[in-house]
Amino acid sequence: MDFTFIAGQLFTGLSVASILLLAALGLALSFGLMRVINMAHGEFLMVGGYLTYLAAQWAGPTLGDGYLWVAFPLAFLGSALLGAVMEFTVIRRLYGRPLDTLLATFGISLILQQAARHLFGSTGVPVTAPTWLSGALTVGDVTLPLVRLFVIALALAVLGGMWWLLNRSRFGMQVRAVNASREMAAALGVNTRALDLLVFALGAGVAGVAGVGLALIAPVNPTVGAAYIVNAFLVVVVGGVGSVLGGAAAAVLLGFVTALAEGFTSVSLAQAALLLLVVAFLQWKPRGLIPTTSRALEDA
Amino acid sequence: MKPSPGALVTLALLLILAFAPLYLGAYPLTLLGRVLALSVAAVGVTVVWGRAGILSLGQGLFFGLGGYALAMHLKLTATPPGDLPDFMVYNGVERLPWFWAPFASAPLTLLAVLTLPAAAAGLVAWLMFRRRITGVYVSIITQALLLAFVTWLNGAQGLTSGTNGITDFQTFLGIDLRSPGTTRGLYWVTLAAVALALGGTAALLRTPFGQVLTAIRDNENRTRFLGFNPAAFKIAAFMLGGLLAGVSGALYTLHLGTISPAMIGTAFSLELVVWVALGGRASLLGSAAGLVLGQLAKDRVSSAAPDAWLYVMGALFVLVVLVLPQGVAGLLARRPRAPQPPLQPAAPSPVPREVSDAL
Amino acid sequence: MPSERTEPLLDVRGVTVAFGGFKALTNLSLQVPPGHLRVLIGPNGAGKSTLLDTIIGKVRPDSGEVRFAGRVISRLPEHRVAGLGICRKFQAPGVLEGLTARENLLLAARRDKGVLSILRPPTPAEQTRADELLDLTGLTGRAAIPAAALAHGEKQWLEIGMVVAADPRLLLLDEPTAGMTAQETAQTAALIQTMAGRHTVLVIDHDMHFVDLLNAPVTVLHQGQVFREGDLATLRADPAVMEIYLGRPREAAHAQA
Repeated sequence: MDFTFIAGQLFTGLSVASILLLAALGLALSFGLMRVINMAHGEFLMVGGYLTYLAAQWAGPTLGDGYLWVAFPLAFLGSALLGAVMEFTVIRRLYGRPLDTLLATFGISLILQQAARHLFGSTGVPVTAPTWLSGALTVGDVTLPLVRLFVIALALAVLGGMWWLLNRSRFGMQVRAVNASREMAAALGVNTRALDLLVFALGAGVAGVAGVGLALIAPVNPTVGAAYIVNAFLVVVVGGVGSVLGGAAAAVLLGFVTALAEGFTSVSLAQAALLLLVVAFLQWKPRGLIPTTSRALEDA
Repeated sequence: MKPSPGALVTLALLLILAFAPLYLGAYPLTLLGRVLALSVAAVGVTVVWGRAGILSLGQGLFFGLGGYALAMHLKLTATPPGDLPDFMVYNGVERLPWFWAPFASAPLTLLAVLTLPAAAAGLVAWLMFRRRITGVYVSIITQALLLAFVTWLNGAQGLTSGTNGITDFQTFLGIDLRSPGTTRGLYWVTLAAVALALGGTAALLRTPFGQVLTAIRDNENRTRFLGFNPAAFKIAAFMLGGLLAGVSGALYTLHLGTISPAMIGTAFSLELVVWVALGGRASLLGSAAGLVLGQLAKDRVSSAAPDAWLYVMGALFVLVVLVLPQGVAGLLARRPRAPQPPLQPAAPSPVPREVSDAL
Repeated sequence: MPSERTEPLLDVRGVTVAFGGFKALTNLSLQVPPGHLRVLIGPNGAGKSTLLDTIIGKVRPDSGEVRFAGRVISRLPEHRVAGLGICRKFQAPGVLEGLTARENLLLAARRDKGVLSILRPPTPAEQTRADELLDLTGLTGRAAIPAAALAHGEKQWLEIGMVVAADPRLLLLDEPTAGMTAQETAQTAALIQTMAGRHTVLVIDHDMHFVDLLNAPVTVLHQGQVFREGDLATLRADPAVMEIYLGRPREAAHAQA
């Protein structure tokens, strides 16, 4: 097991972690704010991926590589719109019933997956990455594909944007206020319902952007979201609910462990071992790496 | 104790079902036996979710442990003495793995079916509830554990036969599993298991144990301050759910003549939950009936229009939760009874007559 | 009876509790002899609720210990503390909503609360006790109704019935008269006075009228420490005590309910 191999695995792990992190951000946001677990969150990734495919189909012939700059807003807005509709029609009716929300969103996830199968077939549709992403960077003996570097940069950019939004903007202040105490924030004039809707749509949109990254790396198929969702949940659980920093650390950790373990054993064993490791971790720190001290969380 | 209307309806239904071999054809009987086997697991979900408020999305783990325990025994019985099971030979395994050895014995296998899933459930529950992990966390962790189990089953080809699952059984306790008479016998055994699961669980829930579970579901902290240890009760409920899932898995394996990772995965565990939700999560009969009718409907719809089935399932999840949170049983229970006493926020509080005298 | 002994039933020794950087309790000591009634008052944030949380095991002290009947209880889980005979009544009615009023009382009256011994049906003595308490709290007609369907006042009385059924050695009451009418407040005060003697009772309240009715020794908490101890009349005359209630005139403290 030489250095080159390990470095390569770590790099792959980092790019997987990037997508995981983008997927987990939305989950953590809506869970932190509404105590809602959205089992259909993975499907926002899927929708983002398919919208990228469509952008490449429609805009590719005229814009060439420029389709990517159509894909980003399309994926973000498309997923965000879907998220907003979901929040408005289902999730807000189940307020205070987290387990029921989990079931209902699981149903939505089944419907969306089947719809994707109907529209695009069950085999993956390929998206050709722009030519300027087709090369690779070589550092010493390690080859770093540009596509994966791009995905990592994308995750960092989105993470930075979210951090700014949550910690520096008026919107973020309201989100943090509702996180701390929903009643108090409402009494102070925050429109909590509208905020729920916005945050949910934002989380969905970010997952849609993650879908663009995913489409650049691998073909998009109807179960691509389901494949990521459990790990994204684990990122939220390990990172500490409602903590962006904890989530980022957990995503990187999980990505590394998976990539390294895959290098040494089979993929399936690595996955199984990782899941067991997470359960063991919760014995040690049941509230995650960076716990949020909030009374309301204890009821979740 | 007066038998409740629910108990009478259950008895009547079991009686009608007991004579099914006389009026049902071969295929419908097989199908009915199969879904009745699954309903045992549904009874477990009622205890764990409906009563104790723990939503496990990983019941397939315990179902699978029961199923695989029996399947290993059946596989060893179908293999000539001294030989290795066929799939091990294909995968180049040279010695029988240690954890297969005990399953050569039928009594040990039956013991394992009854204890292994319950013990695993106890361990999982202990790890979660001792650290006060609750709510959606439990759902995610149970799902992750099931995923880990299924992934391992799929990956460890030589030990578990991987995605193909374990199949080609011949006899159990000397009985030929392929003879037509066996179908009937197995049906009755299954029905007896359903009756036992329903009756035993109902009796258990009628003791104060059932009340404490409800108390924990409604207000865990208050129950703790009354001097009950919620973790112990939740572990017990989870073990009961695991036991029933394990028995169900073993029976189902007998009915189908095979068990594979695809049969016990996330989809299975969630289907179990949705049928219980539809039937009525807090009602034993409701959830068992919900599962039986749901699976029968699935058999019809998915053979006629396989694509439509997932839409139906998805819509059911959403609709049950939005419109019928207590399921069909909740709907039925509301009607015949006297109207609920109206909530009277302004009612004068009763003045206690000399409460102090009682002290 | 424990009241024969002179050592305190509840003995809080030098307890400090910090949440982050904020010290809710600072080296607090408090003794309550068996059979005594003690009232705890203090302005908001004085640490009254934290002290109760510490006694019942919900909050672990950073230093110091809580002893009950000579035994250190500050490291025990909550259900074990409750099992020793310490019962706390919270401000909000803490009845078990999915169970009937009678079932609530039966669970509270149970002595053995283990997961296996729970299978034993209630003893005739427990049943009689529950029925007596239903009668005394005026809930006999509502015995078979889920507690969720009871009116707010009925829930209050049901919980008081549960406390009596549990027959605790130490009873912790957190603002027991919150939301009660003047008449009910007087009844509750009389009830608490009769309970003292057989039970040891620690009451938190800031309704001075109610505290007056209890006619018991008062401990004033301030900034997580014991500020003064004595009878209410003496404390009222103490300008320092009035001072910590933000210099509020006596009448304002009176009227607070």
